[in-house]
Amino acid sequence: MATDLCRLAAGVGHPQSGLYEEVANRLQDLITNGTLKSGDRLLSVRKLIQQLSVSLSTALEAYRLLEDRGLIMARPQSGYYVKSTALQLLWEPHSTQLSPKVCCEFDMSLAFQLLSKTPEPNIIQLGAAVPSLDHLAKFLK
Amino acid sequence: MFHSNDSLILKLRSPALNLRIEALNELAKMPSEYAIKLLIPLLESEDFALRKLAVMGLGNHLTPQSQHLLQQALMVETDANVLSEAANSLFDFGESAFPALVQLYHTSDHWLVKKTVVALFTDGPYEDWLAQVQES
Repeated sequence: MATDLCRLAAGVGHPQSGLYEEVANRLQDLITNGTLKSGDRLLSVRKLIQQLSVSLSTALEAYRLLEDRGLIMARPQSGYYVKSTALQLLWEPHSTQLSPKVCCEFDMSLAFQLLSKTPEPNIIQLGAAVPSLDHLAKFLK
Repeated sequence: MFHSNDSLILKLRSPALNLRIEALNELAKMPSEYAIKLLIPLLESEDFALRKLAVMGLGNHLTPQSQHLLQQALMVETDANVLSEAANSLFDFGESAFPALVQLYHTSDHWLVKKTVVALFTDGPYEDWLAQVQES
């Protein structure tokens, strides 16, 4: 992990307002690639700031972001740990892509034309009710 | 000497974070009396980032004067980032500074300050101090 953090440190020296996000993303990568496993204790905040040469607020904000993402948890009087559900969360799709429904234009005038022709005897009303077999049997008697 | 002093101040006030860190590292190697003298004006700056640098720099010089300055900063500072760094610097002074950290925990409402104090006491065998800053 130390080597991975050294690589991380090399990338976080530049001035950026989202520095804590960068730290959080790199730590998330360590969880994704299995360097940090579920139940592992993360570096203490002071060790993290020493290794990365970042400020304490940056380190704490990065840990908070990872907590918000559900990847790590703070145990009272102990420190930060990788949650057992961390990898599961990372593998789940973020959202389901729903394809938009295709809408077609419908010519209402056609429906009105059909309705207007219903009185004509040569047009069968296919939508009309059909009596059940019991009723037909009674009718035939 | 004055020339290097000026360039150091320029680096400390630079918007580039790497230059600021470089300057802080240079200051850490300098005699405390000299370094603290350079840091005091930054403590009074209107820019919170400079005040933050100042308290970080004071943590590299564990003298009674810098401890006094840091404890003063805890009382007058309003920015959570600066308070957080000041607490971190004070922690290096050991148990003589811990009551001020406990007090800071109870007087500040900001999550960053509270988390800082808890994180500091978590990083060592300080169960008794941790018990005084139980997270609610």
